[in-house]
Amino acid sequence: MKIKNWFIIPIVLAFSLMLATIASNSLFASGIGERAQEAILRMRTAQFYDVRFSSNHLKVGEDLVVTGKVMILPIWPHELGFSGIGYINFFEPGPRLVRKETVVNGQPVFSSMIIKLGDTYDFKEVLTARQPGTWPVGVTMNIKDIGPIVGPSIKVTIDPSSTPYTNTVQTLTGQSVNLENYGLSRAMGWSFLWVLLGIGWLYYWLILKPTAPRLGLAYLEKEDELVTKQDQKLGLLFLGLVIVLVFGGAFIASKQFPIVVPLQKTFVRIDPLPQEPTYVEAKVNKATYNVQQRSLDFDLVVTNKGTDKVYLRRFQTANVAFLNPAAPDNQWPADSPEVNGGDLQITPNDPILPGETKQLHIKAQGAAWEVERLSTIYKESASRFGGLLFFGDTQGHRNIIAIADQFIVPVFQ
Amino acid sequence: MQTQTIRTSPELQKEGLAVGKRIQFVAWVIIGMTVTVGTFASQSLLEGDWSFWIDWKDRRYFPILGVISYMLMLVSVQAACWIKARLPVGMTLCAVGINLWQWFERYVNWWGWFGYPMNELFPETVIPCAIAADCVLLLSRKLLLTYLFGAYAFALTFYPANWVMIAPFHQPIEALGQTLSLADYIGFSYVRSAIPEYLRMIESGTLRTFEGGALGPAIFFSGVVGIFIYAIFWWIGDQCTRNRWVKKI
Repeated sequence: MKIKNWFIIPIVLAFSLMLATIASNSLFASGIGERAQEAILRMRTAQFYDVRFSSNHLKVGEDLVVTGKVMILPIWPHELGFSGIGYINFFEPGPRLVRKETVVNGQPVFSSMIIKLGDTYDFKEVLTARQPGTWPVGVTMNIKDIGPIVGPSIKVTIDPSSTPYTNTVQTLTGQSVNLENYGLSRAMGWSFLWVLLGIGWLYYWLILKPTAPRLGLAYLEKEDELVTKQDQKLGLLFLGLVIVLVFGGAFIASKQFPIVVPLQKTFVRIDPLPQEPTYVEAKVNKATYNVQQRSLDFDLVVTNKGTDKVYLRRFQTANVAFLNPAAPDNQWPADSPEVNGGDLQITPNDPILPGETKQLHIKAQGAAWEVERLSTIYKESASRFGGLLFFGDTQGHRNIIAIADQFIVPVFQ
Repeated sequence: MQTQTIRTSPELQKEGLAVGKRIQFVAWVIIGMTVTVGTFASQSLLEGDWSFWIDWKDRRYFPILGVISYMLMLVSVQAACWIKARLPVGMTLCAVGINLWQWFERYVNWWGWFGYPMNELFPETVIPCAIAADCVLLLSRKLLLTYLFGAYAFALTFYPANWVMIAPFHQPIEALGQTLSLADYIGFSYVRSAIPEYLRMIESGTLRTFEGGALGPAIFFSGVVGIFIYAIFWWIGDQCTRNRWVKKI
């Protein structure tokens, strides 16, 4: 049977609608784009660690608490520029969770912060589940002139709740408002009123008056036939109406809301965390990246200035962590959102004794370099890497040493 | 003979007028949609986030950028409509078109797709400003007066017309250990992952004079800049409507 032409349009429309429906249901972000960033940014600027998400399964209205630390590496890549302005942010595909609170080093923070090189920021973000679904979420450190440095992420599943979500706050004038829809009907009402008035104006000129003859008369410059006294009276009426509505509306609004404040904008200074005693010194001597083996190798000279033997427990860079299996109680934490890069191979892998200076050869090998798109470090404009070395003694003390600026030489064979 | 019958037949004349009105309506709808797209392109590129977010609509940049970003296209279309047909509708046509389009687009994309509440991103309106400027043109019928008073009519009505909608969001609350406006807190709560707080270009610090009143100087400044924009974009609108562009070569 031949399909008639008139039948094709509904078929095409239905097909397009079907595709749009499928796309709208399946094309939500499945990640937060951390691998899209250059390795130089993720390894050499800010490093997240100890990040924990309180849950990965919530109901609408339940809270998600994200805690962790982020260190601004002490030697900042000069080629990137350092603005000294940062902002702890949350990454999600639209506001599926609503942020209630951000606390940095014990201080509640709304604004951007003044950040310093080498400082560590202990943060807590509290969010409330708002929209059902499974969403990739994570924490980021936005740094002005650099962009977002993405921390560890997880997928959170939010189940519907029997009660609709509300986000109620109380103003200082004592009014309780639901931020989900507060003020919307007012904005819609006024917009609708102006659209009506605009359509009225257009109706008079574009529908009631024939346009085609005006083109010829305008060409002949017959002004008086085109703009009559009646037109000008109407213009005066509309102008008067606009003035009355605009300034009358603003006057009434100022009476309805006599206490208002301008939008708030400032930068906050965050008190630094108390300095931890340093009992380990470490320096990287030479680093290579073996492309075929997918392995980062470097020599490390370590001096133990403490009174207890220490182990190199962990090497972490850009959310990928390698753990030393020989260090006591050093299993991969089940709730860690970081990427497990594999075992950290250390030669020799004995503890560093008090007062001892030792050269270690470190090998961090694993597919994570490729999967997380960090192996590109040797192809970027600055072949250098950074990261954090976690040393620990048997007492549970921890010293974190930042590698911030180390050149890396690729090995291709 | 046939032409004579058409000319003298009252039924056919009536029908012809009705068809003409329909064609005129369709033509204006198409023109309206076209200028809406142009307005949307220039306005979104210039005003961007100030148009979008409730916590960007401040006292300093919003009245300036809001006025300037809309005026470019609106003045050009006003010039075209006036020069070609003495119709004082160009600004209103663009303003109504873009307002309807913005509400639709934000509902579909930002509320429907991303889930942002509409009270965080409802569009501002320039319809009263556009009607006022169109009326100034109609009443004065003089270019210089239109540049001067049209630009100021547009600039002076912009902020008060929108203040009616944004005033409730400037009520103070106590959150995160400080005083915030509701608009600030909405911007903080409904996370914009790609727009950290430091990118929010709003009034900060002080103007260091005018007793801290940022709004008055901003409106005055937008009016002054508006006069020049009016002159420039009227000329552009005039040039675009010249017959030379459709002449055979």
